Amino acid sequence: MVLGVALLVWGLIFVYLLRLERRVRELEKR
Amino acid sequence: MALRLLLFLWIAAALLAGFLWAPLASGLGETTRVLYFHIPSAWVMAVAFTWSCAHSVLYLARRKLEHDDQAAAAAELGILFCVAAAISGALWAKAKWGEYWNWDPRETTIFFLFLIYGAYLALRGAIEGEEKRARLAAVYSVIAFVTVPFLTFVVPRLYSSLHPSPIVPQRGEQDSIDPRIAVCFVAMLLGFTALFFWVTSLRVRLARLERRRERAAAAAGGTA
Repeated sequence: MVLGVALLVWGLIFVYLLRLERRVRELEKR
Repeated sequence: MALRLLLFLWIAAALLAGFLWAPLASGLGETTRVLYFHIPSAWVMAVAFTWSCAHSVLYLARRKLEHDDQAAAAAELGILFCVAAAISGALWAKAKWGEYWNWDPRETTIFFLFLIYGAYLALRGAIEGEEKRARLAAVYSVIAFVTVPFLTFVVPRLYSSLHPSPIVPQRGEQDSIDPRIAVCFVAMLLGFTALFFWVTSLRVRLARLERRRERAAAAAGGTA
């Protein structure tokens, strides 16, 4: 249970950071 | 991208190993798992405040706003990891001591660090003008950092504490931790450190974009 929640939270944080980085890269190109 | 995926897999693998492969430490029982979050969080907090101080010194020496961005980003993340360490420590304390918060020397010093660096962010928010803000924040950051080793290493050893003292075994110590626990622990430590530097770089790039936008808006306002 705890392991599942920890992996889920880490996955969500990782996806959020990837999306944020992609957005930053787009803004830097403008 | 490959490095990012490697970091994701690294931390996920360390988590899986910590829960499924490494045994429980004697005397800690199930709370051993907290170790894989708590100590890396506290470690990254110390790294972040050191990074913030180093870039504050560099800013004072070179007067480049890039260093101010790095110092601010590191301080913000340092506070975030300070809170993570405090929350994971409180969960551990509830399981072992029966209370979430006991004002134990370790808990008190981490609370002081939170206040000291919270004041750093408040100071930044209160000053208009990026050069003035960067200069004053850098001076504050250097002075604030003096308290970090004192509150992290000295004060908790001056007073009796319920906090388990060195988890990492000392040289020649007989009762050393299981090597599998040590492997997971070091893997999480490295993973959290890499995560800190990735998020810091993102925060710095965002700060640069914000400055570019503000300057563009100011230039547009000036020509209008």
